[in-house]
Amino acid sequence: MPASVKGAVALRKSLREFTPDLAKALPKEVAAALKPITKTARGYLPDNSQVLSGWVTRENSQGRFPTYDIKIAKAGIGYKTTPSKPNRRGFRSLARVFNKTAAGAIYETMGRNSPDSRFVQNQDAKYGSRMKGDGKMEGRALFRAYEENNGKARDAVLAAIKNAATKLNQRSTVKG
Amino acid sequence: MANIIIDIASEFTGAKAFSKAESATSKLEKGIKSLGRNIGLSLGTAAVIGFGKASVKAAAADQKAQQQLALALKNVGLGRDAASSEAYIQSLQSEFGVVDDKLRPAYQRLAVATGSTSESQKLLNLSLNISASTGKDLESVTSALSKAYLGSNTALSKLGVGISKADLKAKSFDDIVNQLSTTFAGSATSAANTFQGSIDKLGVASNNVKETIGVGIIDALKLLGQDGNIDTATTKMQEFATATNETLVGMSSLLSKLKGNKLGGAILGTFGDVFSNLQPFASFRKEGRKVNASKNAGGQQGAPAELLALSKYSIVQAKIIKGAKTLTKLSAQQINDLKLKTALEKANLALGKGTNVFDLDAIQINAALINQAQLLGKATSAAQLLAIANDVARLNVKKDILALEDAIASGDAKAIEAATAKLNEDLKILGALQGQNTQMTAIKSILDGLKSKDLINQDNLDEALRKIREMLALLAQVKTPNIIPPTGTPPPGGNPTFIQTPHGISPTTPARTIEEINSAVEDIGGVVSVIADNGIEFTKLVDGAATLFQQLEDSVAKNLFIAQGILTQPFNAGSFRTAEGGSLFTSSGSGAYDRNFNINISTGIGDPNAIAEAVTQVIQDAVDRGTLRGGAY
Repeated sequence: MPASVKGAVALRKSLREFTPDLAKALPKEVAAALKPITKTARGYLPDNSQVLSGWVTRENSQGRFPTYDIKIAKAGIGYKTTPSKPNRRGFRSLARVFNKTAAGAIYETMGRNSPDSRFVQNQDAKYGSRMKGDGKMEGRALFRAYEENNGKARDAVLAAIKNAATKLNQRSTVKG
Repeated sequence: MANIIIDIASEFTGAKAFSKAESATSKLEKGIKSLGRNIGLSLGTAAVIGFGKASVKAAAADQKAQQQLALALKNVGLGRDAASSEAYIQSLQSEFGVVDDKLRPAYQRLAVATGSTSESQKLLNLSLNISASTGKDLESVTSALSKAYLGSNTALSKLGVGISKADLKAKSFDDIVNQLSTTFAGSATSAANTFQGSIDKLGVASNNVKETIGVGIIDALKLLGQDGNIDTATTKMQEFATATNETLVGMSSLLSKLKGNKLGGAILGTFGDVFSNLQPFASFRKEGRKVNASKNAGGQQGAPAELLALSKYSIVQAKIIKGAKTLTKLSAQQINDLKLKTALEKANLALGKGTNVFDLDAIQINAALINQAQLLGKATSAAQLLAIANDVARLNVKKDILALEDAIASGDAKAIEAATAKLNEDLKILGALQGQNTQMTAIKSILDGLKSKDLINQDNLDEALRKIREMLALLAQVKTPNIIPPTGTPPPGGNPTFIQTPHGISPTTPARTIEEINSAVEDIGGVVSVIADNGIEFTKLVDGAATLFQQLEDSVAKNLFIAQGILTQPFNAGSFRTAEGGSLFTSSGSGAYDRNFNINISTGIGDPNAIAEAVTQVIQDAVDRGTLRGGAY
């Protein structure tokens, strides 16, 4: 579960208005905290030779099933530090990591519901990988990296936000 | 596509659904409140006060409508029927469930159009039937009927009441009304007996209750406000309303308990009577009736008393109208007299104009002129015609004057007006003719000015004739020459130089040739010039001189003469030859240039320096060789 923060969006606005330097520094600090996860996650992706040959992207492919390409899959793993739009439950994400390609998501989550399927069995036989996490947070690349991060990134993000808020308060305090 | 996203940190800012839910909840709350007010679930003090306000407003509007109808009826001469009309409208609204707010304007429109109470009531009944049957609103139907009564059937045809345009054109209004009455008979009654009609009746009753209560409240306000303290009155009203509310609620509770009792039904059935006979309410009603009776008897502001007053007023008004009609007749008579007076004044004015232009002497003179013109047969000029026309116009004016005098004596206004018009017309004609005469005079003066006096001047002609006569006298004094008779033979005894021939005078000796004349000139030492075939004139030279000049040309001496400046120009020796006519000098000198010396120089083309150098070199070579003759270089 993500850590819920109050006033982070307002904080960003205040930083942008009153302390532009802190407004620029905050995303950088958050990015520095998120980057290790994405880097590790990319490292967990198998090479093209390590996935099933029929899954690899090839010319004249007529199939609609998403094919796997290591370059595209790696490029699809990233992070964002800008607040998102509210979801249906009214939450806005302040910092997030994602694996947005279809093939990367397939590799990430395959075997959650049907670990004995032929596709999963064959892929695991060709390139041994481990799933980490629980429930919807279970996966082979991004979730695994997040799990192995042990909350360091989350703590760093929260610390960065808190730090920015503290600095903003310090600067805005009138000293008599 | 399932996106794999891990939110590291997030913030709850609220979803749209929540704001929508909040807004919907607030709307629902408002709606429930409104619904509660509308269905009377929240029947509290505010509701009672609101009902009181609406009642007062309804009562005021009803009173205003009654007054407007009474005024309209009074204006069309039906003021005495105001009370009966109001009663008729009340009966209609209770019978057909149509509110009086609709009936009054309809009745008013029909009354204004027809001017008859019975006709208005008949047409209003018909309108109610048509409205109930066709679904058209009562206002449209009454409007169409009132227009049809006044002759315009267009609106009636648009109502779709089943009458063709041909029938509308052919039939009278009474026939159309009878047909409509047959077609829509009983429609309003039938509609009133339906469930909807019952509801309408309930609505009418509710409105009447509201109006009645409103009238009561107005009267109560008047009674409460007698001390001038409106705050006290309003406070007491609030207290009364609250008490009424509590009483109503308490009574409702009691009635609900009575429902369970056997006697409840009977009690409820006769609840109206019980309510009416309860001592406190009976006392209130008795007091109210007393107040109303005293109010009506005292002629205070109230609908019945006002209607009675209107009836009395209408009787007086009828008398006034009768008097007004008499006055109108008198006014018409007065207007006729005034018209006659005006005509007489106009006639006198025209007579004055006619007297100014009438001149008896002039008429007599002009009449004589006309007679003279008739004796002559026809007028000889336009001016005479114009004069005759003027005289005729004057005579016509005189006739008109006499006719007008006769009309004035008879006292007939129309005849006076006609004679005056005729006189004015003839005066205009006379004025136009006089203006024409002036124009003719002006034209004549212009034409006289255009005549040329120099061309037809008798003095000049006489002077010229006198000169001619003098000249003839002088010629007569000159001696007449002796003209030889045309015989062709010389007169005898003389040697005349000329002789008379049939073709004129001719010399006696024959004419000499040019050669003979030139020879004669040369004999006396003169110089004879000759014109050659080429048109060049030259002088003949003495014989032998041409040979001499040819020798001179061929000799070296010629060059010497040129070098020494004695002979400035070369000469043409050929021109001295006798074979060419032999002349020393020609008038044009063109023959002096037919013997030229040409030098051919072989050098570059177009380079003047090269040419000059080549010429110089040739001459220098000749000098060096010693072959250059006759000149120094």
